[in-house]
Amino acid sequence: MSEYDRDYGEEAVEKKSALGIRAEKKVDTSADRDTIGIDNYWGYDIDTRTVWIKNDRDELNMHWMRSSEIEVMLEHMDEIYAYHTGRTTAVDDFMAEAIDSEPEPSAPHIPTVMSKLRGSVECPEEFKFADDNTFYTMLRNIYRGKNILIAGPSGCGKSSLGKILADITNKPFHAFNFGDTMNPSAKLLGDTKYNADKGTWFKPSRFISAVMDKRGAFLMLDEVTRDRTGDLGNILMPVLDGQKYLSLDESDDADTVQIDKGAFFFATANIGREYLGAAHDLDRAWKDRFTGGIYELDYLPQKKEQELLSNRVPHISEADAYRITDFAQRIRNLYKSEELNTSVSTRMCLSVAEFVVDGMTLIEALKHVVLPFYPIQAGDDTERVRVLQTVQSMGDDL
Amino acid sequence: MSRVKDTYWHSIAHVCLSAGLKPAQVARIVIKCFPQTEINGRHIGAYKRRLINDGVIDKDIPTSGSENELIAISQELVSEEDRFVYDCSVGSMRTSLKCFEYKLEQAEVVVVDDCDEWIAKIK
Repeated sequence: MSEYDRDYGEEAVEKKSALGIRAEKKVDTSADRDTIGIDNYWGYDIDTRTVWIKNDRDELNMHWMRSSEIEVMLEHMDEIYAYHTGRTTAVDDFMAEAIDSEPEPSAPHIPTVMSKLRGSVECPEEFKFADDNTFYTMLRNIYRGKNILIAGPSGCGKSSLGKILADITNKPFHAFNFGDTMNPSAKLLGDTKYNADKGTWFKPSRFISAVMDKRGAFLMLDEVTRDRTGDLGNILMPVLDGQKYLSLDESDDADTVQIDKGAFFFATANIGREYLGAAHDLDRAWKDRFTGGIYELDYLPQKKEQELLSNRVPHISEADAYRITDFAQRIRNLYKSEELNTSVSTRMCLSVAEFVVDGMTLIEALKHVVLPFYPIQAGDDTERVRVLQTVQSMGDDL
Repeated sequence: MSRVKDTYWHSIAHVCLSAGLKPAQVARIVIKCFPQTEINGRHIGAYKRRLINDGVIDKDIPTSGSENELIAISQELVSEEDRFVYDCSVGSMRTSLKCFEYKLEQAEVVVVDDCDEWIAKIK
């Protein structure tokens, strides 16, 4: 029988066997530290989760064990004992190295709208943008009723994106193009009509019925920079902000239309100096109303654009789809480096592909579709020459 | 960002599993709430294992409600958010399929015949 067992009898044996550990050198000092009485011995008390080591200078090093440490510590007490000699902080030092810190309890997992959308909704084939995150944040904005504005070059897919999102969210889709406005108030509010039987009567606009749609309409305000007078934008100010109403006239007791709480506004804009028929920027207060954010879309990456051509023009060969998109990328690089004033859009690429499928050669189709965008102005054909050089530099590929 | 996958049916599946129902029963309840969903008992089983591993529910839970009772409870539990995500999920599947339908339709159309017909008309 060991000294430990002799001193503390069956109680100690029970404690040892309960933990399934070796205890040849253990001295239980829980009752009284002075009872150790032996140099270089150690002891522990499971009830109080305390361990002591006595060093060769008769100094006690006491350590309180965390529940996660007990088994590890008791398994390694011999090593601790060997390690501690001459050190007053042996237990703490050893445990700091031997045991990782007790893990913080992890916070409960709380699903969010975005995580559910990511987990449940597949990003559709038609959505060719490079970053999936764009798609999921747009869906989140539709759910939260936060209006979004899409800015980007002509023909990059802004309007198509609106239609796709409306399809996915199963909302009734209404598109309003600001470019075709003849009378702003008639477009948004309505107009008076004459009928021989009924006389003059007020016909509410398509916009009015759309914003009142109880199913929560998806309203696409297309080409908002084409509203160069700013009238449409001004009428829409209270519609897009928290007030959510549309006043039918300017009198004090004017009838107002309450916008359905599910109505969602998706605006698209071409912002840039080359859009001569459009405003070059949007009003700051107007932009502010798109609380879902302003997405600045660029043209698709080449691979995605190539996929799009293959999807939309199924008879185009893979090689031709590659050449068309490669040409577009080269021109876009020239535009970025300010060697050209305008770029080649995805819509133009589609047009070229359709011509090729219908029997035109690729080089003819490229010239036919692209060159008119680079006119010879006042005898200056610099840009057109640059584009032709790009076509020729593709050499045998064409 | 969390890597744990969340979906629109998790909340009602959680309630039903906590009531001791079997995955197949839970799947039937989920389909009652979301008729066009594609989930089945295996999906629910996987979710149950996740909940057990995370210590959220016990492995063996005594049944504390009938399937019919839980259908009624679950239908009330479907939140606006889950309904929206479900609609998007269905819409997304439909939209993606449209893309393939488009391809198939295009492959079946004999373009030359259409052209001949159109040229004959303008003649």
